[in-house]
Amino acid sequence: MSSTKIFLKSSDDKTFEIDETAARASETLKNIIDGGCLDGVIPLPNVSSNILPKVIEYCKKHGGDNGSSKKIANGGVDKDKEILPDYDEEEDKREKVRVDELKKWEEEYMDFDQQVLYDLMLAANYLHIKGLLDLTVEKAASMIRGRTPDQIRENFNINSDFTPEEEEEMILIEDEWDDEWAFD
Amino acid sequence: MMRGPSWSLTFLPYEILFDIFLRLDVQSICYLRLVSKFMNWLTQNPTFIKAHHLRSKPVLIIQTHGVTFDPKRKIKDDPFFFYDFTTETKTHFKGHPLTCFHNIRVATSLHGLLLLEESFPSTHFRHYILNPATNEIKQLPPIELGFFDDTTHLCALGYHSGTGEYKVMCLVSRWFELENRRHIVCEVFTIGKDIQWRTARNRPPHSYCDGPRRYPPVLGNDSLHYVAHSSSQRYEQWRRKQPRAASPNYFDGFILSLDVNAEWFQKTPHPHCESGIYSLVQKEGRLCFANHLLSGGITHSLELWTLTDFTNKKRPIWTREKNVGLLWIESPSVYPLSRFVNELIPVGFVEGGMILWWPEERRLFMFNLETGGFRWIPVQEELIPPGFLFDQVFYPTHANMVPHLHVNTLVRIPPWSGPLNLH
Repeated sequence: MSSTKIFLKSSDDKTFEIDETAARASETLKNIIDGGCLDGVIPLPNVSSNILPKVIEYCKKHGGDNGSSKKIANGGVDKDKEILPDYDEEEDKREKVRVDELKKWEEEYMDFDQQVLYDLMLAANYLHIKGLLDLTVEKAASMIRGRTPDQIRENFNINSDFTPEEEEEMILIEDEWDDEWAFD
Repeated sequence: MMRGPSWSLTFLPYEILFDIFLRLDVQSICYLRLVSKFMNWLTQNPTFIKAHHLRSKPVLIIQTHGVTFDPKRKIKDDPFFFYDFTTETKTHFKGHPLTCFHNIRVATSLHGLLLLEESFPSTHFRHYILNPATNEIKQLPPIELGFFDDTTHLCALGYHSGTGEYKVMCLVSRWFELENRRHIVCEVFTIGKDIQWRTARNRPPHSYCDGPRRYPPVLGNDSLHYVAHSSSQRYEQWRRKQPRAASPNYFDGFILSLDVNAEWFQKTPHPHCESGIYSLVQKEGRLCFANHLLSGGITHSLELWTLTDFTNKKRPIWTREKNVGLLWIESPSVYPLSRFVNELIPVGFVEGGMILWWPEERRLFMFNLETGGFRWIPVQEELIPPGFLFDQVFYPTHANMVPHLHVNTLVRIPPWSGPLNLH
């Protein structure tokens, strides 16, 4: 069974091509495909043309992740898709290699600036791609984790809207806990 | 999508922001609250706090020394520390007001809140509620203890899921003039509502409680449960007639339950227990009854029952969950095995297992209920206290220093106009 091609249209009217198996990584697209509402091009008004290729790249890599699409992908043309071997041991080994490769690929894939990160999060949320959302959200979380308020403000370009008095009060509370307890 | 250069994190939809923030630890969220009003508002949201609580990973609170700090001699010791049993790392509590405390022990850990009990030699107790993650601390009003007797004293923190109220219960001994004798009464303090302690509607039907000294009260099915005797005299008489008990845990008690909302004590019938040795533990908000199955004086397995329906207090419905075989365990840390199996106490359930506590040797173990895997949680050297006053004089059994399961949460202590607000 060869996989059919699906066309996606970005918000700025550019069309992109994707395999059906890859598109199934997205819950939203899967529903559209399974629902039979497919007629040629699927418009995605919330995703712009500079983000969509990135999403498609992710889908291609992860399209065969869940069991059902794995079977569909068996005879597929995509060389990324894994063909189930006969031996369990070999499968184990290949699975390991595949996971390692994926990790490496993810590292390279996730190397982009904040603007793209926001857009990807929004796109992943809109298209319901759980893996991609996890990946991006985790990256955002790691940018906040262990940072001081000033660092977070700087990182994310947020202006403090506390009045100076409020700020002073909050910092006082913080300092109270930061100082060593004085006994003298 | 059109956007200016100032487009930032805060413009993301709530569900994504929630998802990001839920992955952060409490410390990072506390910092995040200082970033902007919006972030502050978002992370103070009760829904968020609850979701964050449910996601947090449990750690163990290990109690070490009663004495925390002696200002004159400049000795500083941690009264307790957190131990992550998956990564085997320990984290110290950094809250500084604690350092001026006297003898302190953790009575209960609930939703990330700790009930701390500070004792002064044979005079009185002070109680504190502390969230160690956000460093919020409040002192409860002083409680009149009457005659001091460690066998009659007990305190615990309870929560009722229906009303959302946190209550502290405290057993104290009181002299009753009319009856010319002493009774144990239960004093209750609703956090955020009461100004003073109130006496519960009925008295617990015992004048001596060895049980709670061994096992702290357990919160489950919106009630606090503990094991008690009917009376010391009668118990001693009965005990003298019995053949020698198989283990120090041997115990002819009954389960006493305090309904947190109604503040009413009652005996709760439990599954038949041939050996008379059992302990109580919480499992997913329910009371779990761990029955020691004995043969030839040795516990060969633990039978776990959970209290699935407690709407009819007279006829609670217990469900048998599992039989955990113990005799096949092979590990040098549980030598001699016959003693270990008779003395162990389950401390709590975590994802993928049950945590067991051996009070006499002060050792902790993790037992995987699925695979039957068994391992020692190596915090032993920290658990052996030096000969210090608190444990030996006030609490003759080490069991009072049971490790607790704890999660770091953002849960706030309900505000009230107490006598002293430390924050």
